[in-house]
Amino acid sequence: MPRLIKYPIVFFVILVFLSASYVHATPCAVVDQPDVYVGEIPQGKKITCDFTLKNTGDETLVILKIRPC
Amino acid sequence: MIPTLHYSGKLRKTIYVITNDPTVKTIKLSVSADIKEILAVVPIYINFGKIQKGAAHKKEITILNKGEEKISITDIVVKPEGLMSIQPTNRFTLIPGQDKTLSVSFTPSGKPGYIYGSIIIKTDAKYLPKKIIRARAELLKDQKDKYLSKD
Repeated sequence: MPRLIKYPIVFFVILVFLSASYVHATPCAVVDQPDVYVGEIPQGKKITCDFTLKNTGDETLVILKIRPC
Repeated sequence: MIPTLHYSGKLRKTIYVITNDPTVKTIKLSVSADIKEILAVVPIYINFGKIQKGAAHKKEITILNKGEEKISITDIVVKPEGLMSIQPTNRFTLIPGQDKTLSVSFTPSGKPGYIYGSIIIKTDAKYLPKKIIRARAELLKDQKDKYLSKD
């Protein structure tokens, strides 16, 4: 294959590979148990509960806002 | 931390977490519980209604121990002190299932209009140091005042 054709093809393949990996680099937020039932609580006792948020993606996960409802 | 002082029965709280994850931008987290009332007061709100100045009005409230341990009522504070009073105010203990009825007296004075008060029941219960019962009355204009305002 002539060199003039070979190099652009290699360059194109690298470009496609890089752009594909750029597209896939995203954070992925996963919570094992998003809905927790803490059982029977006597009136007046404050409820505390832990949630574990895991980033299974390949980019930094940023918590932008936490809004209680 | 979720306070439960003003709840009884089913309680559900939700928190929304907004992230930079393009697939799940908002994560919904929920906590639910069954809140068990350990000290019930009936009625939970006292309305003396429309009343005339000077006359004493009485209502009763019943305190019931719905828990599984004895509860002592250590003190009962009434506000506003001059207008409202409660009997008895001394310390008493309720075993599980036991109740006690108290008498609330209201002797209005001052300007006509709405009067708001509260009864603060202090306890030795671990998670319930006090229970507040709200009271309200509407003080009517005196007949004499009515005639004066017409003139």
